Amino acid sequence: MPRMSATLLSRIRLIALAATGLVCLAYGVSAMILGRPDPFPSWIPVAFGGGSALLIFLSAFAAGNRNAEIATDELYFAESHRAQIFGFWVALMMYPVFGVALGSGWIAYPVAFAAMGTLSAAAFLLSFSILNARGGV
Amino acid sequence: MSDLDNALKVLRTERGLTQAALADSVGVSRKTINTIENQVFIPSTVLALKLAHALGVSVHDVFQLPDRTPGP
Repeated sequence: MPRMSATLLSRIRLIALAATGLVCLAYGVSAMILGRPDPFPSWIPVAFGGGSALLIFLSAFAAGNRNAEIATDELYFAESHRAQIFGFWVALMMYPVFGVALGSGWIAYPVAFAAMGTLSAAAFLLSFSILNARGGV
Repeated sequence: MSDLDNALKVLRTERGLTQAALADSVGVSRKTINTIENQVFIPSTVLALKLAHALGVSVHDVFQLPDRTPGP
């Protein structure tokens, strides 16, 4: 049985993570706009996250060890690391931003928690997707 | 402006290798080779040595510090 290529594995990973990032971004933004912690069923971002993980795992299994290692070479780790840095600072900056919003009464606590969590995830997922699609750090 | 110049594309094409073929020989993705050639990504020492070995040259023939780098 022919192995999945490293290129295809990378493409599947990119699409899965980008889609999950967009769903998380939509959830967080919708929560803030609608003023509710569940703008749409919360199982949707969960399904995208879990489904992406499963899809990537199965694809890596189908690709085999060598192709999986090629798909996770040092450029991949550099892109991932850069995205983690961006995600870290976005997550950190959310505390003062949402702190002001909460203190000013612009947003309720449940909405803030829903938005902060999903937007933090979106920051990493989307920045990695952009770096990975563009190529290079 | 990159911190490292390289002659990777020149050496690769002289040997009739595609980016994919060179990438496969050193165990990285074709995109990695492309970003190195375009000086967007600086490889690790290990990968630099692997590339030089795959091309049959010294690592100094592949990678060089830019001329503007101050000396000792």
